Amino acid sequence: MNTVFTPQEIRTLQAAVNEIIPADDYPNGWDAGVGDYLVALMIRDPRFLPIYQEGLRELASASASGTEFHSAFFDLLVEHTMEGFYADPGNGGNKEGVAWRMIGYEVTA
Amino acid sequence: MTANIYDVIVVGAGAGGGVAAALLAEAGKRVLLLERGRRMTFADVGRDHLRNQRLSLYGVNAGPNLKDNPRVAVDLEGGVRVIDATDGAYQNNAAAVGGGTQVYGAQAWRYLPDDFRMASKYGVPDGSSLADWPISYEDLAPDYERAEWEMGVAGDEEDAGKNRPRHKEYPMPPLMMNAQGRALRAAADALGWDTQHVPLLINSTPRGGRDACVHCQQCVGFACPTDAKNGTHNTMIPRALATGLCTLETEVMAERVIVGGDGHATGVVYWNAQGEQVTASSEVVVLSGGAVETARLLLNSKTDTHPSGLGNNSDQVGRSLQGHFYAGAYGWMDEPVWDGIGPGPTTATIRFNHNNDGIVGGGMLCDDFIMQPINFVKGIAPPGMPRRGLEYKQWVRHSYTRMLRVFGPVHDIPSPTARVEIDPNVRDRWGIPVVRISGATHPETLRVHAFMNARAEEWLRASGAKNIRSDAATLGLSGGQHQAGTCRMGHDPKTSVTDPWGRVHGFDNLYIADGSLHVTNGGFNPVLTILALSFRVAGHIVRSW
Repeated sequence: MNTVFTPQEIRTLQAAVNEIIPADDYPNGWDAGVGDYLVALMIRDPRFLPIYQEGLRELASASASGTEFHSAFFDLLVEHTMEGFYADPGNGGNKEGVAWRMIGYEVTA
Repeated sequence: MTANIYDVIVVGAGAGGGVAAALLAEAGKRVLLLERGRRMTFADVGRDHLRNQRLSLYGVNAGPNLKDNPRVAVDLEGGVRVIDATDGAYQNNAAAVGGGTQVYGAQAWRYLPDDFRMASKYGVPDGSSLADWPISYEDLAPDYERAEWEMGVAGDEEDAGKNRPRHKEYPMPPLMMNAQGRALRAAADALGWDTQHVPLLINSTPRGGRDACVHCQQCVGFACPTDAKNGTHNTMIPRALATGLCTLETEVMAERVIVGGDGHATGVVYWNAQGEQVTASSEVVVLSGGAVETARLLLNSKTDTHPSGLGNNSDQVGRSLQGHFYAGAYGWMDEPVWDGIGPGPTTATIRFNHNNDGIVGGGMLCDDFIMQPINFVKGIAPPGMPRRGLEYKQWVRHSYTRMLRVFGPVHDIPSPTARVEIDPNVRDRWGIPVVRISGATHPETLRVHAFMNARAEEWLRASGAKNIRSDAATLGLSGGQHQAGTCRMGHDPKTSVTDPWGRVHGFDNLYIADGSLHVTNGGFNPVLTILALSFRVAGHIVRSW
């Protein structure tokens, strides 16, 4: 999907995003486009990429050792995941306005 | 290159400058209107929910350019940061033709008579620069009326006339009621509180060759899809240009006002869009850059005879920066109160703006503009759960349409230490020293805020809302889109910057027409007062020419 993250980073990111926004009868964060939002954000605002690379590395090793993981990076990822899910589709996430449909927000003009 | 000689130079094409340019050009004056931002279409402003005037996470949608326009913020612990307009401490309004008026919420409140005499009514709290205006509500009423009619306000005369003397109805009926407004009106009736429509600078009927509001969901913070929102960009500035006498230059930066040694301004030095430094001369100079940039321009225009900047002999320029702290509360209704009928604000009470025991002033409360989903997620605290996981997702889904919220601006009790100065080190893209913003509102403001939070909670309780929450304010500045007060008008040059006509003390032809003039900022959105003051100042310039 991109040349920003490695396949390993994508796997870690996808799992974390879907933990933040799991699926129910509406899609999980990843399927709603949060990954695309994050890639677009990294490209538009390069200061985030090193933070993600390091944070995802820590997240992957914590998850491999089964330890509870909480960090400043995870808090940032929660914020960005919310942006990808609930902001306008023009930012790359919230595919076809799926999050807006879920909550009852409708644009009429 | 044409000779750069005009009758009037107006610096800043926002609310104040747009009105001034129109009145002066229509009076036959050759006007140069300088604007640092661009002229923006609906598409230019866009609908980016992360880069707009209600959420500026990664950018802004009505200027200024982030990289070219740094400011310096000093926090209350003395920490110094160089920041751009995405930082709340920047006190950003906008930089575009029309200024903030293309993207504002357009609430069109007249201040109340008591708002002009706060010091007389309440006394001056220790350490505050609270003062009376040098003019009364009655003095400004004719200019409020001109602003309402010439810009276009939709409102309800029967409601509004109860609280202020008026001489003419609003030009348009109020906008459509919505579900949240009905819930709040029923509760106010039960409490015995009087309510009124929120007056808006928005066409409720086609007017001025433009359409009526179509009640969309992305009003405040964005431009209007039907051009029904009335700002100076689509009313006064087109009038100015239609005379053929007004030259609008955009993407320019004013550096300083040029003055002679005799209290007379002779022109402005600015950088044009091509990056060239230009000297333009004029008979009159009007500053309309907003409370931050107008103060900056005066302070940056120092000369040997004005070593601390123009109009600053008494060290008043840049002090008493004000804005608005917002009090309010939100809670949760059993059934949806979101019907998608924008812009949103329909129902206000102004019964708590004054005469609250032991409180200096008060404020207006009303329902809010439709909140964008990401603002809801970022700004509204869920009761007793973390902001992630399935429970939170389903809470957002259930709750977005069930939130009932009232809020409103409270009197900002001015402090002389809430301040705009010139930073000694940092310069903008043009090499012009930028502002250093420091200090905080007077602590009395927090008492007003807490009092109004409690009134908001009371209103929501009567509406049947549950899990009601309000948030305490902390000391700081609130000068963003409602910025005011850095060049206050008054009779005494020792305690004010301009006379009651907006003319800078000690000068015969240097005027200010923007929110800087506000002595106090009322418990209301300030834009109609900014517009009215500009009608007053520009009218005076024309009459005394």
